[in-house]
This record gives sequence, structure tokens and C-alpha cells, in this order.
Amino acid sequence: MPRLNLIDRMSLLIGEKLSYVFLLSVIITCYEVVMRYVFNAPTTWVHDGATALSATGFLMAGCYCLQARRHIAITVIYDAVPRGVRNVLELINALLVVVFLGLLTWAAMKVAMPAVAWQVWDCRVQFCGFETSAHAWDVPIPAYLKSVLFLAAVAMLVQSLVQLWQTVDGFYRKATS
Amino acid sequence: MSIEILTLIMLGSMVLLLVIGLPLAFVTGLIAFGFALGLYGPMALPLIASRVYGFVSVYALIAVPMFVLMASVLERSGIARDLFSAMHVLAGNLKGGLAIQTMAVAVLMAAMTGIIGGEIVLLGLVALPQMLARGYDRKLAIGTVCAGGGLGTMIPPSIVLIFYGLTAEVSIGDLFLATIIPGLLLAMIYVAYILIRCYLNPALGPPAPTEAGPLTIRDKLLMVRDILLPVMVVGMVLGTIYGGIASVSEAAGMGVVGVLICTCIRKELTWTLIRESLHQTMMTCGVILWLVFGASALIGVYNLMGGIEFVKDLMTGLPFAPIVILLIMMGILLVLGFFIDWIGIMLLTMPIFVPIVRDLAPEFGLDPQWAAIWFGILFCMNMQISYLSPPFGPAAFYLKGVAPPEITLQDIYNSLWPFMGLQVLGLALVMKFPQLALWLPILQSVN
Repeated sequence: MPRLNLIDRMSLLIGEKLSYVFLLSVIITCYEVVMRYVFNAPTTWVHDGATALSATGFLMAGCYCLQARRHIAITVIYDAVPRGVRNVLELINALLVVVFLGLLTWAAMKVAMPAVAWQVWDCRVQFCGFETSAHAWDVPIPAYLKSVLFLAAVAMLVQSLVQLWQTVDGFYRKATS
Repeated sequence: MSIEILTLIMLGSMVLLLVIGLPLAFVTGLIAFGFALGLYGPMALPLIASRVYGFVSVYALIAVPMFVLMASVLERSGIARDLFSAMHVLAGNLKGGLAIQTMAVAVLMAAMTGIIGGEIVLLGLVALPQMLARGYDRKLAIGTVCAGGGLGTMIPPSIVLIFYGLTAEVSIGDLFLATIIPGLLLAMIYVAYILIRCYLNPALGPPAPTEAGPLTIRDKLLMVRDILLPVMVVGMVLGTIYGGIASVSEAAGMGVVGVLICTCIRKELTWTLIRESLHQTMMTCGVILWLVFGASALIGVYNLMGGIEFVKDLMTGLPFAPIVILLIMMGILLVLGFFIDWIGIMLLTMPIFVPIVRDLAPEFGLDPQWAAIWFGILFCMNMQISYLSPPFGPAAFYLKGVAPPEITLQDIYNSLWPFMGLQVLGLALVMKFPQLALWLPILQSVN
């Protein structure tokens, strides 16, 4: 069991703390049901609020799983090959994950920028308003969630870089020992 | 390049990347990005990334973490254990009674959880040791636990059906109604199988020894509590959905509160229990969402390439009767089920299969929308088989984690074949008689 470094600890901490969003979305959903049936006063914000809370958890959970290496993989061949081959495969895998997350981060940035309306104009970055949901509770949830998507991608990219570094390090040590 | 060659390259690279052990979510995502870059240039990537935004901003999706949370809390409480002991009245002096009792508990638990895993673990911890101690046939006991636990996604609520509803754009409430009879049918088939085997050969499942001493009032009250609490939760969730009182997501929220109230009454509610359940929920949701994202990105790109049209023309152009095409689709699902998990299969195949089924609907004498619902139930039953099928059947892995050490993974898989046969029988019945699935939802829509 390798010692956890700063990034690992961060991923773990963020994942664990953000898991409370699910509890929060349960609470406000029940609040809505009670308000609607007991007090006959349905809310306008629970629907979108609960969705945004849940979505935050969903998106940020990716990094939590990456840190724990819990994303589902088929390891039957990987487990069967000799150790040397497995080390090479591990390296390739770590590299591919970084490539994927690098592309995703760039793509998510392209999605998030217009939503929070940062536009590059005359070499100057300008702010021109958030993208809003246009629902009864008109708040900038799309702008928020698209930013979370970007943040989630960044967090996963950083985590995957750490894992790549660990793999390379391990590979080097196994090769020399 | 023609679509045939592109399809082959796509499948080939997918198999290659999967084989070297890259997580499925990244395999599909990477291939989607690769093809998008190659065919449409860099500006296609943000389009793919926005799909993940599109997916998480759907209100119906919030039911998923809630049902997962509910199952996680349930798993950590003693509700299942006490429910099992209270249900021993069912077993009585019946041959194979303990296995029947296990199946009854499995169905009741399935009505509280929508995922596979937790239920198998619970039954493996509670029911399996008792059956083995009583001298039950090991294969029968293991099969009962795995097949019964798999019902978690067949009896509503079911995460599989929530995702199917989102993918195929049909009502999740209708799906939850449609799955009741097929789910119970499967349970009945299992029970019949257990009874027949145990009556033919009583050594497989010896009846209980006569009870020692009468029960005290306190015992009886506790028993009533242990059965009533879970029934209350089931009533809260399914009652609100079927009664049209609240949406599926709201019912899921009520379910979480219901389970928390139960643990509170049982004096088990602690902050640690909540915290650990939330962590587990986070983990499960992360795995699911990123699988969803990768697979939906891949199928999205494939659609853009004209791939879905291609497969659809290929399948409907086949010189076969519609029922044969349906069988081919079921066969593909079955084979895929041996290798990848349900969510990957669903997101990769349903965007192709569901339009075909809608097209074929008149040939089965069904309305396209009802045909899609029927197909969802068939898919769900098919995935029941994939839970049990080697080499990756998750049911076996879950059970292995909690079974006595002398039971090997091989033992478990060897025990599951008869139950897989029963599942095929159930699937065939619902395929032959779509009314088994559609009777309840159509009845409700008429009223």
C-alpha cells in the first residue's frame, strides 16, 4: 500500500465531503413533497436544486473512483500475463487515461467558457453574463454545472497524472531492481 | 471510408483496449474522442463533452443516487437479518422451506433496493450459512441466493429500468408497472424449481426440525416489527409511485427517509452509518456515471457516422420473421452479457435496438411505445442472466466476498447453470406473451 500523496488525499477528501450533496438532495426533495401535500405550497426551486446537487456529486465522483481505481475494467487477460508484460500494460493504460482526460478537459473547457460567458475578444477576456436555466427558478444552473464538469475533468486529469507518475516510477524501479 | 470498415475498426479497437485492462469508461470515451477527431476535427469534442452535461441535468437521474443510498443504508442495518429470521414462519415444515424463505426475503428486499450487489451480499451473509448449516444442497443454496439477489433490479424500483427509461425515452413509471409480473414470475419459477427438486429428493433441502417451545409475546411483537418496517418502506416507495402521488425521484427520496426512520426505530442510526453509506453511494455513482458518459459518447459518435442507420438497415433487411430478429437481438445481449456489464450494454445497444423494436412493433401487434416498454423488460430479464454468467457474472463475485472460504468461485458458477436455465425460461415466456409485461401498465393507462 503506497503512502498517499497530497493529490490522492485531496481526491479522497473532495469525494467524501461532496457525497453529502446526495443527502441534501434527499432532504430538499422530501421538503418539497411535504410542502406540496401538507401545506399545499409547492416550491419552485427544489426540482432544479436537487438536480444540480445530484449532478455535482455525479460529476465529481469520477475523481473519487479514479483515486480508488474502482472504474470497471476487464482484467482477466491483464491478470494472466507475466509480470513484465503487465507492467508495460499498466504503463500504457495510465498513459491512455491521461490522453483521454486531457482531451476531455479541453473539451469541457470549450463547453464551460461560453456558458459562463467568458469570451475572448480583441485578445481580452470579457465577462458577459451566465447561462441560466430559464425555468421558474431562473438561476445560472447550466453555467454552474458546465463549470463543475470542467472542474471534475481537471481534478481527474491531475489525479491521472499522479497515477501516471507513480506507474512510471514503479516501472523504473522494477526495471532496475 | 465505408461505414462497414469504420464499424470494424471501432469494434476492434474496443476489444483491444478492453483486453489490455483499460477501464470500460475510458475505453469508450477514448474511442469516441479518437473517431470524432479523425472524422470531424477538434470542434466535435466539445459536442461530446456537452453530452455528459445533458445527461446529468436530467431530473429523473436523481433517483439513482437515492436508490443507491437507500440500499447502502439497508446493507448496514440489521433490517434484512431480522426480516429473514421473522420470515421463518413461512418455511415451516416445508421441504426446501429455508430456500423458499430466502426467495421471499429476496423479493421483499428487491422492492426496497434497485441495484444488484447489496442484496446478494446480505443474503450471502444471512441466508446462506443457515441453509448450509441445515444440510441443504450447496448448489441449490448458492443458486437461490444469487438468483434471488439478482431480482433487485427486476422488481421495482430498479436502476436498470431508470436508465432504460432515460435511454429509450419511455415512462419510468410504466416500466416499473410492467416489470412487476415478470419479476414475480421469475421468483415463482425459482420457487417451483426449489420445491420440485426438494420433493423429488428431500436430502437437498431437509425440512426444519420442530420448534422448541412456544413464542413469547415479546418475540411475536418483535417479529411483527421486523416484518412491518420493511413492508412500510416498500409501501412508501411503490405506493407513492403507483398512486401517482409523486415522481419516481420523489418516491426515491421518501424511500431514503423511510429506511432512515427504520434504522432510527431500531436504534441503529449513527452518523458513521450515514457517512459510510454516502461514501459508498458516491463510489457507485461515479462508476455508473462515467460508464454512462463513455458509452453514450461512443454511441453518439457512431450515430453521427451513420452507424445506427447502418445496423438498423442491416437487421431489418434480414430475411427473417420479426420474432427471429428479436431473438437475434436477445442473443447479442446475452453474449455481450458474458463480457461487459449491463450499463455498458444498455447504452451501446439500446440506441440501435429500440428504434428497430419500435419499427417492428406492428408486426407484434403492439403500439411502438408499448413495444419499447416490453423490450425494456426483456432487456432487464436478459441482464438477470448476465449477472450469473461466467466469467464476469457480478453475482458470483459479490457472493464470493462473503461466502465461507471453502466455497470457490468455480463452485458458485457451477451452481448457477440451472438458475440461468430458469431465467431463459422466464425470458421466453415474456417474449411469447408480451401481455405479461404490458397488462398492468396498459390497464393503468386506460383508467
